[in-house]
Amino acid sequence: MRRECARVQEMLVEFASGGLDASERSMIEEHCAACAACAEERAALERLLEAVRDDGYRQPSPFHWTRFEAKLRRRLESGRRRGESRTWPALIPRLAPAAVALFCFAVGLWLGLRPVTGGVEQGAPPRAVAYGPVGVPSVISPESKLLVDSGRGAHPAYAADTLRPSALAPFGDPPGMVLAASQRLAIVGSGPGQRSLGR
Amino acid sequence: MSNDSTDRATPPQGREDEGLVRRLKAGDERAFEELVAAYRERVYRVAWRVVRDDEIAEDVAQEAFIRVFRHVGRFQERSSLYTWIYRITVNIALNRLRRDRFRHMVPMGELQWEDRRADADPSYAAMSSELAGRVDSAVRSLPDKQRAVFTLRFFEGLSHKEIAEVVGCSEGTSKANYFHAVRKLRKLLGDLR
Repeated sequence: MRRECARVQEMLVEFASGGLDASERSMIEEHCAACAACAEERAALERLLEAVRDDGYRQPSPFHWTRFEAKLRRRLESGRRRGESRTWPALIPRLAPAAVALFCFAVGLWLGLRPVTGGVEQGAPPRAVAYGPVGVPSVISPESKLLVDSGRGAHPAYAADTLRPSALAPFGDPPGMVLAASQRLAIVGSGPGQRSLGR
Repeated sequence: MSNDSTDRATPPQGREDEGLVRRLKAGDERAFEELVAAYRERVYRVAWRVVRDDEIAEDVAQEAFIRVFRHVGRFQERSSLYTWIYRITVNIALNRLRRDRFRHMVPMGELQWEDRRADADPSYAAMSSELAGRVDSAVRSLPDKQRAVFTLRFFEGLSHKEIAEVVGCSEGTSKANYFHAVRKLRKLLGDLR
């Protein structure tokens, strides 16, 4: 294929689609008049595009448009109603039960998760102490043996490996002190506050 | 024969649209009715040619008009109204295809379009020829974006510059998509006489 043919054939798609400017179109016309291969390619593309023009699309009937517009009006109207019902005054009656439920949930969550310290206050004598390997209050580590007193006598020691050392980091240096109640451990450290950890 | 030649390649432009946009932005509902009347055929036709399903095309067209109505305030008139409307329509149609394909996990080309259409409209079955069926399958087999570009260029007569605005690509990409679409159709339908 000659270089000019290659160029013309690249442009034939646009040519057959009615594109290109006047000078490009006349160049292709002239070339095709002298080149049988390009003329055949051009004719084939034109036949193809003519056939593709009937791709199965059927113009809808006037009835279709009446229905279409009615449906569109309904959708816009219902959208508008929904929009209006989203304004604050309209939402208050609907949101009130949800707000009450959310409040109850938050209170329950707070009651359930608050640290259980057995009445221990800052500065009060600890009722349970974590003993390190040497038997003196020390930093709690996975090796620590924990003696726990929940206020109703001595508990069996909790397995120390249920405590993640990283969780104990905020409590700083010894002594780390552990209180227990129910399923929760409350740790009172030398740090600024208290913290509870799940077992 | 397809009977869609009424307003192909003659999108309204200029002052008429500017006035319409101004009225739409002012919340004039009558202007919206005029807009729907002026564009419904084009919007539906483009939607249909991208999704190739009557029901889905109607849904896409409705959604496009709803978006136009709601977001006309954001239309900055840097492009013409009709390219903006085409853009909305094509975006919705392409998203719809992606969503449906994800839901059904079947290629678009295998959706039961022909049977449903023939059932719904017996005259279609009568009119439908083997040739139209082949053309339909070939057009369906084009990738979504190529089909959208082909539709806008070949059926709607948009320039590649306009298509680039509508589809959100460069002019070169639009030309390449169109070129490859026609080449693929030529390959699939090359034996047509």
